[in-house]
Amino acid sequence: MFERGYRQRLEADLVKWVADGVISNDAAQSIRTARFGEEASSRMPAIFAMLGALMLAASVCAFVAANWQEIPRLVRLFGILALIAACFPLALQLGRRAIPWGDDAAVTFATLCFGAGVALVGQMYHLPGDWPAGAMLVAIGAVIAAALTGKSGPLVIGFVAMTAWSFGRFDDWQWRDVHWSFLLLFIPAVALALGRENRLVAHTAVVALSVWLAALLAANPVDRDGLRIIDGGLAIAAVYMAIGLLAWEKDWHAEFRALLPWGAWIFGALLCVETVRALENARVHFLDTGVGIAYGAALVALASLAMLARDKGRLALIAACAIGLTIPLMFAGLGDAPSRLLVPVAVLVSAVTLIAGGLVTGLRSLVIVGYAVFGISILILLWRTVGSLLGQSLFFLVAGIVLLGLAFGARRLAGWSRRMDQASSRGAA
Amino acid sequence: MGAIDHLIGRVPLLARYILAALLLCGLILAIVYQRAGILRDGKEVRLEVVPVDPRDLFRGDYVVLDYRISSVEVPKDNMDSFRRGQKVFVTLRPNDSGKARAVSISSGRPAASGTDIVINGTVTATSGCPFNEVGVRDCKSDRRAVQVKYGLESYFVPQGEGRKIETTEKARLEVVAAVAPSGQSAIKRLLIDGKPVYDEPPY
Repeated sequence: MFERGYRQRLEADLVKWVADGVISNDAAQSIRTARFGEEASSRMPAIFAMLGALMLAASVCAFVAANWQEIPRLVRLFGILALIAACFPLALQLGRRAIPWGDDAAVTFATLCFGAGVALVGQMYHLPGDWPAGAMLVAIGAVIAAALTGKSGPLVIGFVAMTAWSFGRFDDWQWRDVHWSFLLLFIPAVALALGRENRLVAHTAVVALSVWLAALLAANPVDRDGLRIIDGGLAIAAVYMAIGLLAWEKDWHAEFRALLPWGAWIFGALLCVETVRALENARVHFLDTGVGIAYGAALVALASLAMLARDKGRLALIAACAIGLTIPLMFAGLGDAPSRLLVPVAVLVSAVTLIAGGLVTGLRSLVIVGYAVFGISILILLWRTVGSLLGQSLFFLVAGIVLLGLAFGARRLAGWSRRMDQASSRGAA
Repeated sequence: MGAIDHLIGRVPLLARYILAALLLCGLILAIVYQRAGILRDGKEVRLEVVPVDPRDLFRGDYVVLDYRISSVEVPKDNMDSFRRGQKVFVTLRPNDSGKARAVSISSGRPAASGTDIVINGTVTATSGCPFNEVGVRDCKSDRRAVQVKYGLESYFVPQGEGRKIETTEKARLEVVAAVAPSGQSAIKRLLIDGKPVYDEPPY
């Protein structure tokens, strides 16, 4: 549970224990090596092999793009097919010799060569510049390669190609139609990814889903001002964070855990956008069906988090999301003047609550996002003054006093919590 | 390991790797076979290339081609029946000099008769200016046209050779396309002053 947070806490504890003389420096080093050292060094060949495969594939792609006439096009085509065909036995051999990093790199290279082959055929027959169709073909090939070989590299390529395909199709249709075909490839790819426990695969899957969901919000009717993406995006980010936190606690698959940092960053970015929106023009936006569905999903996800999770920090996270989600309601329900003051207040309170949630859960990404939103919002508020400068000075003064009061209250709360823990441990002894 | 991986894992590793290689190569060869079929068996049509903004003509290592048949005139009251991205069927008929003209457009496939050839296209814009008799866009009249792309708009050339086509007067350029019975099309030849400069074999 909370592996990254555990690592950070362990590192902090090791430094403290060495300083306090509890353990020796050598012992601390042994613990570090046993826990992280081997893991980090064992990943290095895989990373370098993958980067090497990417470089070789880039070389093949540039060769195809050069359209070099000295070599007949059929020879070029069969050269690429031969490369693809040769990579699989090579991967098989590397796998049998227990060199898994070479195995994955070879299959990834074969998948990238497949992409180069698709480009070559497009060039040979002057196929139109329908790059989303090409991306779809690459995604199909990558998912096939990932399914049959059990390797993660092709799956990453597949998700990246799917993202390009979906985005291209929405753009082609001027954001009027929903690209449902995306799900035909995305769902099997996610089903494959769930068993892989690969962080890169998990993150690319979340990016693919996020781009599709954003386009879904923007489509039909066309979201010219981007308001539906902002309002619905906040709700989807809240869903991401709720599922992500549950996944960390319940030790669900990496794809669900990856939702947490992406949800936090999207939520934070949109909170900053809401601050600017409130100060710039405060346009009223009536929530529509798309945003309403996103809000419904957010309510269900946050309620599930409240009921199913045990971690104390979940309440702070739920509060941060709930406060953030009231902002679009303010735009929809309140006039111009109140939202100019209330929205920045809600953004700052949401950021502070996010920091508190991150501290309690031990998830640093929440803390960083909270600090980032807090800092950027203050800069935005200084840049675009709300009312008079004197009024703004008063606003920061009140906010500062409230936060100092919170700090004092939190200190007392922590002391009380520690005393309670000590009392209960004495009772148990 | 996930459920799907577990299921697929029952197939021997060697068989899976061979199948993966065959499928990836097969996908590429399937496109080659389909495109070569159009070039080998399709009916030929001669298409006039119309002047376009030179800044749009050459992009990197391919040439952007715009055709006179890319603009298909429709009755004004029929404009709403088309939308961007819609698949359409355009009937081409050769004029006295043998160059194809778009005579009709429909959302359903029409029956071709005589020298007519039906070609598949996709609507790119629902409101445009049609060409007049001398091949210049006429935006002043009440006539309106639907813009259609046929998948013949890109012509890939060896690095650096695009400029030769770019600097050629567009009235001298002509494309011979092959149209399959299904309506799919492919560029077969590129002509300058009626003489082939690029010829595309099926393979």
